Amino acid sequence: MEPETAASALIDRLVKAGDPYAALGAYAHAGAMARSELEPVILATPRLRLIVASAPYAPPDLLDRLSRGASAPLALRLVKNPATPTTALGRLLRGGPDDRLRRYIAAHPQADAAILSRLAKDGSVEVRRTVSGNAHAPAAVIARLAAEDDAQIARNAAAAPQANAPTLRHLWNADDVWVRAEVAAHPNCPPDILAEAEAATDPLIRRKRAANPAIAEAALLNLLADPDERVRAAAVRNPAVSGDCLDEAGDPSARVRRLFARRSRLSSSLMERLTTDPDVWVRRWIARNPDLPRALLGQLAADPETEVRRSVARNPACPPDLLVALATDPQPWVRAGVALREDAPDTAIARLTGDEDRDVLGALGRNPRTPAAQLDVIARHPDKDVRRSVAFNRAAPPGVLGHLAEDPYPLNRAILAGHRGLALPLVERLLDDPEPQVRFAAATRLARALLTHDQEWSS
Amino acid sequence: MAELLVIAGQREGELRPSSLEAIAAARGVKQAGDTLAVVLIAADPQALVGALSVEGVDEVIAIKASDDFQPDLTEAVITALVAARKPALIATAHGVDAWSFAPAAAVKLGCGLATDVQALRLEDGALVATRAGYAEKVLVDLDFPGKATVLLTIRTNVFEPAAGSGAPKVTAMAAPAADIATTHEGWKPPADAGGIDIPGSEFILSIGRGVGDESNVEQFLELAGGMGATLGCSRPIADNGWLPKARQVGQSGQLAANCKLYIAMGVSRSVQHQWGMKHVENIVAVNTDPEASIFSIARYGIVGDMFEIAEELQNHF
Repeated sequence: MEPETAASALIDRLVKAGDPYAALGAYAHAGAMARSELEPVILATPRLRLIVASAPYAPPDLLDRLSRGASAPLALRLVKNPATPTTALGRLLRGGPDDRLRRYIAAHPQADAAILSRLAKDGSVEVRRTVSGNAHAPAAVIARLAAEDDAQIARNAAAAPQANAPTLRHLWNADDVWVRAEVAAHPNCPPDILAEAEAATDPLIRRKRAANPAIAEAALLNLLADPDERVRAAAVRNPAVSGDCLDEAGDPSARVRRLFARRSRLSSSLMERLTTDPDVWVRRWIARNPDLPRALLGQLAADPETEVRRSVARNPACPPDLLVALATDPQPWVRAGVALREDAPDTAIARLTGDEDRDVLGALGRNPRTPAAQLDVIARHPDKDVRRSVAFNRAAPPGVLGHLAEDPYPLNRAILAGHRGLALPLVERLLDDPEPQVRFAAATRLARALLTHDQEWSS
Repeated sequence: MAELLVIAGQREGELRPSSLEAIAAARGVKQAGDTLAVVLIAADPQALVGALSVEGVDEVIAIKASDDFQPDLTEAVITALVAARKPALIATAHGVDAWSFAPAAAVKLGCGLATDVQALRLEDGALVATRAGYAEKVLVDLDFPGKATVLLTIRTNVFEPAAGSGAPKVTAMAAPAADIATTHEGWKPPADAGGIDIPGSEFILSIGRGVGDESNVEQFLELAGGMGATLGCSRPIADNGWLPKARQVGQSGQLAANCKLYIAMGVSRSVQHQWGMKHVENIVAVNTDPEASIFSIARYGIVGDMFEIAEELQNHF
């Protein structure tokens, strides 16, 4: 069948079936003409319109269309839906919504500067508070709101990503310890305030300052020696800290050493020290560190703690010979860590093929390097969670996927329907599945292949 | 004077703990002059009489049969006892065993029926059972006008297991003839969970898609360990192989059956996940999306970044 004919046949079929879920799945990939045919199916009843308005997977264009002349219940669902586009929010705002709706619009992730600027002048303090908490609120809006004498607005404004230096200075002067702590953590915090925060007696302010990514390296080094371990921990976590700044002797607090172990560019002596740390969490973290040399990884691969060995198996720098060795680890969770790796050598995969543990099988099922015969066994496993793993495998052969299309567990069929390797006739068959989520996924997949002519999806 | 019956359950000769909860539920509506009898079907019922000799139990009806659960036999036992004793109430634990005999017996005998009952009381001498409705969004009180016998399946982990010592008389009853339509293929124990016990944990910290990447999972394991919680997860995390399937909570995972405090971080709108935890009395939800459906079932909600909240929590443990 010619692509145009096949696309047209799909739309005809969906319209004839009158199935709103399948029609909704196809809508996002359909052209203007096809959409006009699908809309009466998707929006056939008031109940369906309410369902679509609150569905985060609904295409933004459809939500925009619903916002035109929306009733109050429909408008409420639209403003609560994170997928509702800016245009629809603007339209609903112009319709003079009540306090509650304006609050939802003020909190909406798609609300743009124009909408937020307008709502920042709203008569309701609740609406203005919500604007101050919206991460997209522009600097001018935050500045205007920060001038208000309202504790909640002040806290929100101090944490607002766009808050500028003058606003932060104004907030610092308000002398509220929580607001000051947020100001000290803000990347736009003026240097003189950061200096003032250094002397703060309240450890909360020092801790927040230590988390500030814009803080100078010298100041961070001071914070690494702070008497409060929570302050030192925040400083170690700061992305501006380089691993080579950390004390080679470690830190008396295990909690801080755990954070040491997560940093890159650690000195070799510090890495060695952390590898033999008595705290198991330190060893777990360092075993995941991709900078760790082969010898230390080998040492940790023999650690008595299962989770440490698992961390080695998941370390991207783990060499092939260690992966082969870990593939026969007595603990299945370690073997599962190897089975998950797409770079595992064939010998390691071969050693895992007889494994019966469901975490190992689930990991092998996902791994594109697992042989087809093994995938076939996994796709027929009695555990539905194990079988489902094959539906995530981009290299699973069509025969194995075909078997999964008959899976009795609906979620497995729904996930499979989106697989690029599933033959289109089988996807078409799933359009008649009793489960709406399967029909939705099948229609999405077919529409992508037939309506967008995307070759990758048309196999 | 009324007779109250409890159908106890056993698995491989061991009493199911939920049997004591069903006894507690029935005992709560027992009035002066009423008798409470517990029915037990087992290969060696005498061995379990001691465990059932709790306060308020007046009689144990012991029926010798295979330890393998047989729904048709249980239905036949109920039929025989209703005919012989006309009990006002038959209570049993809500679960897969009860599902296979309770509705059928209630229809066959014309009893009142309520499943998954969470509370039980008497109003003017009449039984009123409370259960959830509309996906746990409302509580429904049910009465049973005109019903001589009411059959209830009792939600587990709601009633405190009956305790205290009692001295019930033991009555042996021959297993009635039953039209057995099912066969018992064998008992398959749950897969080895490597020491992870989601159903038994009273405190679970659970993570969802919001965790973003495998490299972020470890810090929540650390946090859960520090807080004395068991780390659970939603399906995508286990599907990705980031945590063992034994930690998965939900429809295709496990039920947080004994949980008293459930902290859900970065779990948004998964109905599958909520199936496994929405019954927990204290749910704390942490999510950046104020509209995340998890908030609709949470007692406490925090709109915020799960990593920031986790970091703050770390400062307290």
